[in-house]
Amino acid sequence: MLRNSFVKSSAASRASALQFVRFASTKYDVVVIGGGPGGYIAAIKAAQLGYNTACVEKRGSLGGTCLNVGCIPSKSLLNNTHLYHQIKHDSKHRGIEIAGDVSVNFSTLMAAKDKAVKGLTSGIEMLFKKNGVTYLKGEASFVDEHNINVKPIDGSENLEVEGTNFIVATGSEPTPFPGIEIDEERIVSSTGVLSLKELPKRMSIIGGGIIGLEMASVYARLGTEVTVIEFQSAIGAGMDAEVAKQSQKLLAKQGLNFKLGTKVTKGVREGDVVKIEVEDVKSGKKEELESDVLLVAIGRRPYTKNLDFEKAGLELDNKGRVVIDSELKTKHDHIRVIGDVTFGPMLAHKAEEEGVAAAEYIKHGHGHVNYANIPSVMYTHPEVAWVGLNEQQLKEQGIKYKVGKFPFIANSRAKTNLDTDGFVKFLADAETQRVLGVHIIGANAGEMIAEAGLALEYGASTEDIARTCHAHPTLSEAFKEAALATFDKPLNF
Amino acid sequence: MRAATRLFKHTPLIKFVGGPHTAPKNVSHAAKAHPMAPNGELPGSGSSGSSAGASYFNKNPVEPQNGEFFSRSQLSSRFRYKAPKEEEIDNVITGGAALVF
Repeated sequence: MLRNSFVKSSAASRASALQFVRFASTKYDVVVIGGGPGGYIAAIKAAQLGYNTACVEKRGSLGGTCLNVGCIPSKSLLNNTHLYHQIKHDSKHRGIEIAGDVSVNFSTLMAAKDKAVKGLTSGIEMLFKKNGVTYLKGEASFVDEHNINVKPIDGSENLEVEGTNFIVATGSEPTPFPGIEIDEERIVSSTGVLSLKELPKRMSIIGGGIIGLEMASVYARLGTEVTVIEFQSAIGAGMDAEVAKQSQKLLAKQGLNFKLGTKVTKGVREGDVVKIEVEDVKSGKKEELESDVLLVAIGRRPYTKNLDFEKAGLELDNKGRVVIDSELKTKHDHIRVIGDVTFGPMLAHKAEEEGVAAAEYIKHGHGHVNYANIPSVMYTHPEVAWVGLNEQQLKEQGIKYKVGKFPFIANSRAKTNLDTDGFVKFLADAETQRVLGVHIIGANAGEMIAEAGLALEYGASTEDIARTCHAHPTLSEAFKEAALATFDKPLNF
Repeated sequence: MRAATRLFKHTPLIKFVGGPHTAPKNVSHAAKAHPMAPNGELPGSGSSGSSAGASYFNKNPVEPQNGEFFSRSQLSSRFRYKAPKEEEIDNVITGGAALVF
């Protein structure tokens, strides 16, 4: 027993010594601050381009908000609750008889989510090892424009790290709602809602954007009475108006309650209940709601806390974003900034693109990010996905366009799946048929939108897509038919 | 006949650009505004809302001036986006196909 503990303690000291050896090197060609989707990709790419690279992350696990408390855990909950809902409510007419009751084990549901997160975050550590990226587990702050201080999370001595180049990728955090105090128990942010201890009977959600609607779907499927409160008169910020309206209709059919054009004036916890005061934006009519859990999902703000940016002379704009130029540079050529902490949509895949571009700018003086071609996906059921311009934007820009639509009810695969809600909508240049935007509601929309992204990137016309053979029977045939419908008649509708 | 064939021949708009790509030479690195930067802000131009470190949330909040609005929904209905009609959406979703299936 003594021997066993001695072996364990020697192994621990060896691991600690190894970490020290890794920390001992304090000068790097590229230092990436933040190990989220933008930061870790930038670090791997920089290492692949031959730079001695370090990545500083204070969370204790890589992957940032996306992997730890964002996209990945929410997708686990969305997928598993969808399966549950389908087994419980959508199996009998498919010929599947369930003997006995179907129920949810809430803690196992959460454990399955945690397992997915753990697997993916440790996968990034492996990728760091494979590519020779030094992983510094600590909190970074600028000392000056060439040096940062790293405060290790294990409490060991601080380390000063010198970088020839820096890539700042510190991400974002949930925006607080003025006057509403988040305790991550009854009043939760997008982080707390992923780790509730028990299934709430009633949940109110402030914000009808993607995060709010995805979480609304998760809990409504589990039987929670969900009310979404949105200040705007439509849900799904950034969606094409027609798509937003249709997806609201489909979500309402699933039991979600919507209070649109409604502002929240108060939200306080009283014991195990949250009391919320709302007001109709137009009429000013007030109403009081009660919930077991209130989710505040009104957006995210750039994360720059404790980074001492002023010591490196970096500037923030009035929304707290670091100001950069078209090559992602700050006023110092060797400090570049990517992802949520700077301009552009706060999306993991946008940050990844910028991560690659930042490393390539350092190496070649040239990088590429097409901000006109960044897809958005809402992983409700049906999914909603879009890329490029929507009708409102085309009208505002005075661009003449044609619309081509194809409903999934006329698609053979959707019919066999008994899952026919939604449509594919193409917006193409009226003269050249060049694809300008694609908007999809439907099962698998998030996967299908990749074809639209490729078409936009290559400057394809709708005829190019319509003349491309798509496998039968697949949902993607609806994509082809919608493209065809912009300049000719669809064949199956 | 040949003329008719030519007429119906599809010329793809898509252009596959091939590879591998080499980085373009003689690229100007003069600072240009980031494509997503509002009002073409540039680093070091002094046009930023705040300097780093200072909490921008503690600064005076930006209030709309007379005649300014932060959201389209605050404008009168004349300026708002027109939502599609229920019938239009239903036609797209179900359409004639509902009669067939």
